[in-house]
Amino acid sequence: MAKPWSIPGLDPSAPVSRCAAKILDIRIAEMYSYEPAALETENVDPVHDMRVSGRRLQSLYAIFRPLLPKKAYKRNMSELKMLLKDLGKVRDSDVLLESLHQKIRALPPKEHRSLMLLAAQEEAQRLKARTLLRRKLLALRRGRFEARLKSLSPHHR
Amino acid sequence: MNAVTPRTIVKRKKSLRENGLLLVPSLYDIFVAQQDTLLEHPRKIDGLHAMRLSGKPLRYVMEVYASVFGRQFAECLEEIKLLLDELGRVHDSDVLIVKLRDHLLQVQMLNRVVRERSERYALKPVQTVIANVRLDRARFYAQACTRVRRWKRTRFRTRLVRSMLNTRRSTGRVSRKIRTRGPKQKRR
Repeated sequence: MAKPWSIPGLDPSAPVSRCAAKILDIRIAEMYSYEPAALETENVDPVHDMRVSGRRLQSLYAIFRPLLPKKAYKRNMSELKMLLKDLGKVRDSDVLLESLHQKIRALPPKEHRSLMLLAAQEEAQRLKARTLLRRKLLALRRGRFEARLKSLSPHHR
Repeated sequence: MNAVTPRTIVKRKKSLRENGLLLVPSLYDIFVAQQDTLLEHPRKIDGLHAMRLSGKPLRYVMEVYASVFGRQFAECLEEIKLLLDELGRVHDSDVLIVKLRDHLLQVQMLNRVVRERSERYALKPVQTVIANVRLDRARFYAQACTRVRRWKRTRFRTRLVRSMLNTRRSTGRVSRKIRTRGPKQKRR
């Protein structure tokens, strides 16, 4: 799992609204640092890392909710939730395929056939989920989702 | 993901540290509220998954506070990460078992329409893998239970709260309920 980015210059005795802006900005940058690789490569790690950092962001938004504008919060959170759902579908297939291939490798070659059938079905599922994710990421890019998330932070208002 | 409640959101007028002193114990209580399900119902897949999901906000908030509170707090965070990792492995095994069982049924149905015996798919490898995944699951489940029992025995919650209060610059006022024990625990 990707390590969380450290948040420099965090003053624990400062008002929470000032710290919240810093924390959220770092977490948004963290999530978006994985976006190009999640979009362009077939590697499993960027999708996983983007999902984890997206979940971090989602949890923190929920906690800082009283400091954020209601309407924009609801709209952006539902979009983030949809993105996490699409990332989750790809990740679920990746986890399943990894465990399955590990189990298949432990069996003698003549016993692979019936399990390879399941692996092939899962590969097809993964491809479908990946296509949907790519479409979603491109749509969010066009809709300037990153900038909208940043504008939610308390100090931007 | 846990539901947003007044106990799990920040208080606008308080500092970051004061909010941490309120948030972390509340999120911890939500996380361990389902520990009895974990310990008493090993087959209750949904309950285990719900516990894992409710632990994630705690972990993510603690990650933010890792630089605010000291070394002992970081050690508590590591413990929480380990439990979540074990619960994650239990969940991954549960998902794989369901997939393999469904696949076994599919293969059995497929074999019924294949005339040539040599062309049929072997069932035994699938059954073997299911048995192996069950063994893995039992191992991860036992690890998670051992950890939760140890937390209960060693008063992990008190250790967690103390790790925040013992920090040199911790001056936030904390209610007695948070300082001593969680709201769900009974007095002896």
